Amino acid sequence: MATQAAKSGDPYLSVTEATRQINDTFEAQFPQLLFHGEISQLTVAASGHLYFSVKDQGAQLSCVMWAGMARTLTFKPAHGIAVRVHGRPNVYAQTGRFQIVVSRLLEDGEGELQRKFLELKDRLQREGFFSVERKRPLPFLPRAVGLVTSRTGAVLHDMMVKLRERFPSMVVYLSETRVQGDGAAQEIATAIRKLDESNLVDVIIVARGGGSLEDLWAFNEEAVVKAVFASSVPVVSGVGHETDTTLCDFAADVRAPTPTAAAEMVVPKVTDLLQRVSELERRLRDFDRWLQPMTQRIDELSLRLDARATALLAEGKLRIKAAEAKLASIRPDKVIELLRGRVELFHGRLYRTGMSSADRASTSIAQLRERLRRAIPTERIERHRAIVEALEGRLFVGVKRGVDDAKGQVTSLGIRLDSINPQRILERGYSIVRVSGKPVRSVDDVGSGDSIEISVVDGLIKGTVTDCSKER
Amino acid sequence: MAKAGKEISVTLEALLNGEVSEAQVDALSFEQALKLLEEVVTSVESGTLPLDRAIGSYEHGTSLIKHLRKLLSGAEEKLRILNQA
Repeated sequence: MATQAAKSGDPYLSVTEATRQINDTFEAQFPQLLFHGEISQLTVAASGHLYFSVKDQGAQLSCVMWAGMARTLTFKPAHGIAVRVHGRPNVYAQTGRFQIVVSRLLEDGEGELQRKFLELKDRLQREGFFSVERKRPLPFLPRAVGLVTSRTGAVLHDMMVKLRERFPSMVVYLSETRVQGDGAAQEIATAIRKLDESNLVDVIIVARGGGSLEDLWAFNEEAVVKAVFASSVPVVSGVGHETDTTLCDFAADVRAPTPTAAAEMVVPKVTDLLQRVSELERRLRDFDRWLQPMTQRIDELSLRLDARATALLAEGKLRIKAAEAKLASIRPDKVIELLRGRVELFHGRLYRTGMSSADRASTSIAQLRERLRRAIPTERIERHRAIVEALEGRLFVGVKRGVDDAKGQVTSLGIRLDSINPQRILERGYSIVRVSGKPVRSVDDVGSGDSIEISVVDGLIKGTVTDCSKER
Repeated sequence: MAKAGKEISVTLEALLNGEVSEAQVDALSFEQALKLLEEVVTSVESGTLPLDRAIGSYEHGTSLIKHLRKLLSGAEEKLRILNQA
């Protein structure tokens, strides 16, 4: 020491130099010091710098966090909060105070887990494990319920009490698992898978009692989320208290606020169901009630039947009258009389047997009419009469023509006859000379002295022939 | 119930036609049997069934009630532990 001091002169450093050397040494030795502890004696300066101590049972370190750093904190530092500190040791020259200049301050445990939780939640959400479309309804009444939880502890007991209270004969299978600690997530996932593969249950409850985020952490792990997602039967998540949320809750088909609430959800109350069955039984056995609409319908139908029958009878009568009227218009009378008799008969039968008979009767009447129509050869008579009339016409025309012809002939003959009538000749001034009654045609027919008669138009001249000569 | 092959479908029509055996009724889930019973009661109450079918419905309804009651009854179940194989 003495030598050293002698060599460099004064062996004593200035305070400033001593402080600088201490700080240089700290810098070299602890470029970054990591430690954890609990915050105490926190002061927020007007400048925004944070002054506080971080301590554990045996020691405490003064810390300062500059305002610029303090603004980036994701949590609010407070007395008693466990923190993890990144910083470097330093002696503040002005006061000689030893302190840690903090470059990073993390909330211990919970804070880290919280970040991990959010990151995992985001990722699994993106991967579709929490999709709402995938959620399935719970069975109305499961054949059996599967429980995934710890065998020890109040949770299993509380759930069993609730299940028995609601449905005493419900079959419950426990698939045991640890619900906390290293490897718990894998165990939970396996327990879910085993229940699902057993085909024994129609619904699975994954349950755990309340606890810190760290306690419940297994239910946030991917293995559990995937097992819940993969289950072929619906899964109800009843993890922690109402305020606790785990990723298992998001993946489950239904999230229950507590394990007991989950038990309540998966089974109906047997008393409610019995009441429903009894109510249906009462309705089924209520004959009056279910016969009532039937008897009402019978009444209604019988009324309609009466109305129909009356209408049919009236219609039948009308048809008979019409048939009678038609028959009356058909000659000959004997057939009509015969038909009337038959109609009377049908009339009677119609009254006795109702509507179908009316139809039959009218059919018979139609048939009889047809036969009658064939029996009376009016058509043929008509046809023949027409032929006769045609012939008559032709005859008349022929005869008329003959008479006319004859008349013409007679007239012309008359004319011709007239022209040879001697009277006509006498009228024209000619005379007829007869001798002994014979007309005189030649000179030779007479001789002198013959008495002759000369016929003129208005009389007879008698004379005697005095001379005859062939000369005119 | 949701397991493949476990689902048994029985329609009201088949039931009323007498096409459903007693064994088939016994295999019905509570939910299915209850739904069928409700249909039976409703159709009987509607009065639209012929009398013989209504009487048949009454009988089928009674067997459904028996089945439903059986599903709801039974001794208190003990917790069964799935083996940790």
